[in-house]
Amino acid sequence: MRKDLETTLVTGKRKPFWFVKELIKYRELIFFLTLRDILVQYKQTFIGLAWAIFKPVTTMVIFTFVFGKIAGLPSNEIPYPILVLSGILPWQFFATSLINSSNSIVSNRELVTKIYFPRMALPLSSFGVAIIDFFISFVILVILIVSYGLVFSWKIVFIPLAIFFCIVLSSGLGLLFSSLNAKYRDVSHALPFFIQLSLFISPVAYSDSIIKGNLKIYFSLNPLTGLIGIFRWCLFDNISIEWQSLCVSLSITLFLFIIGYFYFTFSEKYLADVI
Amino acid sequence: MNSIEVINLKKKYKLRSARKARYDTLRDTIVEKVKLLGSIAIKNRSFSIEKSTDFWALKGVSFEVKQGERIGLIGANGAGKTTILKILSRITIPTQGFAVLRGRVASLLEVGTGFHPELTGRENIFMNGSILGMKRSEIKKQFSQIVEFSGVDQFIDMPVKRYSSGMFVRLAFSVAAHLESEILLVDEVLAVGDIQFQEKCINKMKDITEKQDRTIVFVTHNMAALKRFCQRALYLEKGEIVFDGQVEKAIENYLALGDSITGKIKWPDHARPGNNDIKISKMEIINQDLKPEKSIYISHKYYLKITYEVITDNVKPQFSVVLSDKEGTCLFGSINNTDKEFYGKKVLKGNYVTMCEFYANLLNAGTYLLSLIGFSGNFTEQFRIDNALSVEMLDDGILKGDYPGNYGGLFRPKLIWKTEKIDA
Repeated sequence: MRKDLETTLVTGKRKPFWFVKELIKYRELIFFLTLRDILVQYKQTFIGLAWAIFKPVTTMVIFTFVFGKIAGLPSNEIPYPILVLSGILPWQFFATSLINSSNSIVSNRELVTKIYFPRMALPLSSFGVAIIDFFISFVILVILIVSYGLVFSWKIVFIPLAIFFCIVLSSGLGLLFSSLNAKYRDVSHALPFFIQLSLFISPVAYSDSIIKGNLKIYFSLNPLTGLIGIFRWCLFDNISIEWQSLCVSLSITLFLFIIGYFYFTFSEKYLADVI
Repeated sequence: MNSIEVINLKKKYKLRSARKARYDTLRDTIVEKVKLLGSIAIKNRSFSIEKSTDFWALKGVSFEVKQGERIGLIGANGAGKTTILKILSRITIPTQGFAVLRGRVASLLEVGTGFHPELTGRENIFMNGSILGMKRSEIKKQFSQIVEFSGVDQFIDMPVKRYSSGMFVRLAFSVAAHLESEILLVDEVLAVGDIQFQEKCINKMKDITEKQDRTIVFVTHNMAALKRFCQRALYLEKGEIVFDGQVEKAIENYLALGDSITGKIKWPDHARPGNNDIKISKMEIINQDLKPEKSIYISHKYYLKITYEVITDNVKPQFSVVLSDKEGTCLFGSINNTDKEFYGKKVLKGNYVTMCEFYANLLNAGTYLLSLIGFSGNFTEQFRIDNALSVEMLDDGILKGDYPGNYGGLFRPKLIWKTEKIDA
């Protein structure tokens, strides 16, 4: 008789940080779930890849035309297409990862009701596709910057930090909405609408320098403002950071993450029953 | 040493009455809360509040399983067998009580959980293996054995959506059969796949338990499989253990129950079985005069009538009926894909009746059990109602003709005999 048998206690009670331990134990599953989503997305390589290029490029062209040419908004001496694309990148990462993670529990209903694994693995593993999409768009941005003859700022090394910021933001909301979605299916109808709105209230198609005075602080309540600001700061030398609004954005992001995490841990054990 | 200890396990589900939507909507919840507030404020009961009632799926279950023991759980639908498995495998939590499991636990509530049609067989083995709790290194080590066992090696790099359903099941099973956990929780999964392959799986699992001292908890309606596979059985009734011990004795309990299954069953609205697309409201045996009747003469034809509600638009209702003897041995099954005018077509919301005709002169005298398996498109999202109805075949002697004795066997077909004189 072996003595190294692990013992599992099955009860209704779980400690808040038990989830972290379980996630580490099931890290291979997270890897495979991520891989599955990526494979399925890009299996029909041409469509998957073409779509990942088509979306940001078209948005960029239209926004440049509407906001740059027709409305004639200023762009801090950055060519307008590049200004727009550098805003679309983080926004699109946010949008894709939030939609995917919010749907992750419902679309994997079969798994949730038939097998045990830490449920948090589902929203977390739905970031893979968004990350790949992000890199594809990033390559387009780099090509664009080079072809305009611009110089990259040394601050580009902070890009991973910006991505991390974005992951924290969308995983917090993703955890919240994925568990809410399991219970209230209207979440998946409402969410795309609000994400679409966020495209306009965030400085994606315009520079945040056009927002002046008191309005600034209201704008920074939207964590995407800080996120896009940080992202542009990483890329261009002539963009400075507004520390005050960044701090507001960061604290709101952190706050949303904590809410999402605890709501998820609270509802996790009932997911299989309510879904 | 005990591998599993279950102490006073209870599980409560909330049942909502007269609910048609398949999930809560935020609006419903808000409306309910406002109604509740309203009724408190005015102290008036005219606000009808949908009261949720509690349903105890398990009412305090305790048992122990020794290491290396193979134990079967039997009982009618809704007796709590699957709930026990779901709690032990941690899919859902107990309302009260707890259980201790010693060793790695793998659960097999369904074959092929996590298989994705777009992925190849190879990719799915890794995916499914890791979902079942195998480490990547273990899957790699066993990969060739899994493929060999399944017999689909030629197609291993093909997306599984191109597999036949038989190949799919074999591959899914092979992964499961190679799990190296100390405790295995198995729900009625052996009911799919062809008989030979089922046999192969049972033997493989038996082999592993005997060699590796593995503990197995097995939920089944098939008494023959139970006898062959398990050393001990628990018989459950309405969320409680009624009998715990010898397999034979447990089966006696179960068969006595079989007599209480009738030829007609109607579910209250909130308890209708089904999935998100279809809810079954009624199942009955109908005689040749189209009247509900449990006892049918052998030489008469009869029908299974399924009344159900389609809840969402564009659903393709698919049914499979399985007829078995009282011990749970499957005699045959049939799928409604012979109904060319209905099958495979998308239908709109509403109530439907599906009839399945059983022809005359098919079964021998005796009692048989009917189970229904339902799908809503492409054989996915299945639900099953095991032993939903029983039908009693009565011998009217017509087929016997001048023969005074009894026929043996399960079937009594009217075969065609012909004799000619031949010149040598």
